[in-house]
Amino acid sequence: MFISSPEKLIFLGTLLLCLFIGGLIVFVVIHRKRIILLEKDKINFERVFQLYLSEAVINSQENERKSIGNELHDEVGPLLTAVQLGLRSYLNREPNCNHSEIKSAINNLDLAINQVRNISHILHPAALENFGLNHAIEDFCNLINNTSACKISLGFDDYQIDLDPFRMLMLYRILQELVINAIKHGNAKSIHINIKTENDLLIVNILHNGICFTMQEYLDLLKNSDGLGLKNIQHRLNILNGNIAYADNRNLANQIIELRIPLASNF
Amino acid sequence: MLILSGVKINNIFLIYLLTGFELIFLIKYFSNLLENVRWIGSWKSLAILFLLLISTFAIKHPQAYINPNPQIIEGLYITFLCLLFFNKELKHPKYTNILIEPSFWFVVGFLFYYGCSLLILLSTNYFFEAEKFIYVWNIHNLLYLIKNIFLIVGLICLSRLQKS
Repeated sequence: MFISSPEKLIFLGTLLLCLFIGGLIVFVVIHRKRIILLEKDKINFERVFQLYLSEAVINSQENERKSIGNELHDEVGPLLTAVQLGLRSYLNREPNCNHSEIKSAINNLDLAINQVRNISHILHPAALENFGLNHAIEDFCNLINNTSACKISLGFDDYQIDLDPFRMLMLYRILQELVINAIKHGNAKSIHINIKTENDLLIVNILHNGICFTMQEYLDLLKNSDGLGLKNIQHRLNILNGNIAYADNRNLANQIIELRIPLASNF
Repeated sequence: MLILSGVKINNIFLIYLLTGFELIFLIKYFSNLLENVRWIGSWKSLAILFLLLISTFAIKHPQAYINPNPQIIEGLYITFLCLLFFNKELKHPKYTNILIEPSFWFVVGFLFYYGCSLLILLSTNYFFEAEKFIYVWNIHNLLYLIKNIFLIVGLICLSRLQKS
């Protein structure tokens, strides 16, 4: 026999034990690596699932807004206009009636028609579908500038931003929310929005002279606040795979909020 | 050793002493490591029995020969605890890289040495008596060296972990 003495048997036995223990250790290491990979896959799957879910919720929200906006624009708007026209013709036909009351009603109707139009534009920015992001943002800024609550200026480094309609709408909503927040909570009187593309990123800088929170405060508010505004911004940013950066010092004369959004979808 | 020579006991006693202290130290270490493992309390109680057994061997055994039984008992016991550790790792894995965990390297070192040297320890007296195949102790020393290398890797991981 090849192995004749007990010494060799012990030697061989020890060698086998070494191999067995070595194999066991390698197995444990490989098993752990596999578990980590599976966990990563699971987390990734959950993240993508959450994003799809958020996208579906936001899509249905947008569809609802669109239908309400269209109803306001196509149904309520013409009705109010018809009432206004009726009152005007009545005013022309009956010169002896009380002018001031009718004129006040016509003026109020004028305000109501404008309000309905503005609300319908905010709910469903038709300019976004028809003319693109730049035009829709310009429309929104004009709307704010007309209220004289704040002056907004715009700067585009690219004439046409190449985003798909859904991502465009998401970005538009984020900008809307940030601008309204700056005016409402930050008392900003002057805002400058700059939009540019860098490699595959869309970079939006919002510079305003109001009060703004720091990045840490933003993260704390996201966790602890009941408000929907910031949460909606973050949801939309997650869907766009983008991020937001606030200045670290809230005592600056001008605050900058920076958005970085990939031009292409990540799904 | 001076004390031992003073009371006319040879240094084989030191091996028993080392085995006893080693066992106490390793039980302490593994009881922290296997905190949530079932039956660990019973295994700790069993260790006390083993310690008593080792003490008996040390006192009763003739001083002319090495009694390898304490080391074999220690080896079997530690090997079992190491396997319990791996069983725990397989059943309830953490989602971190195992290769940066100091406890992994320590257990690998203990398992490698105590598990692999069992056969050599079992045949200690045979090798001494036969006075041949004496180079088997080189294999034992190599295993001891490997254990220490793994322990050093574990210590490096520990210091890195503390730094981070």
